[in-house]
Amino acid sequence: MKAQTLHIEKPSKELLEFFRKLRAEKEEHKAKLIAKKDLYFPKSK
Amino acid sequence: MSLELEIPFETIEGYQYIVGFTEVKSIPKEYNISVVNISIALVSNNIETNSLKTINKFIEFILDYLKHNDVIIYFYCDTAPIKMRDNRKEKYTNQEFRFNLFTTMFNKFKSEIFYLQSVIISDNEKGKHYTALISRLSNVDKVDLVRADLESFNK
Repeated sequence: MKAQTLHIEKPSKELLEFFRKLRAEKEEHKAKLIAKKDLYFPKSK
Repeated sequence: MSLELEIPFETIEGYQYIVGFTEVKSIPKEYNISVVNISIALVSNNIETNSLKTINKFIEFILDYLKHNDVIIYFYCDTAPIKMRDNRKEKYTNQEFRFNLFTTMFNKFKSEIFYLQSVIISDNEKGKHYTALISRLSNVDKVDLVRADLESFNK
């Protein structure tokens, strides 16, 4: 089952702020994962 | 049961990734289902070229997670640089390119069991937000509720 893309072309201010916040949270989550690089991919000695 | 999960993964081309799932706590409304964010972090120091094999692997991680957790996954396409063919006629932003690649591959894959609702939000200041909501097909009504709520914010 394939859904049609929902395109919000004129989002309200609240919606924009919400999505910007989600983007910031995602960047934060990504930074935390990158900081764990050595834990998951230890450098060989 | 914790919804947190981290999966380290190295592609045959040598790109190292950590795929992380974490619950989104800032949803303003209750949909009777948890919403989980997925982040795909490239941890090796290079600009990625996503082969179809790698995209399929990411989709496999998502579908496997959904087999074990009845949730809606919120996928926000990454804005980090990605290699694209120079002779490509259409010019895409990094995020748009990932979005098109990911949704096309997903829809070729198991769309009879899982459901993907792609959502694009125009943002004149910060650039468009390319996202997708992914869940089991049995949750299509809940995904539709989110969709309807999002649509109500379109002026």
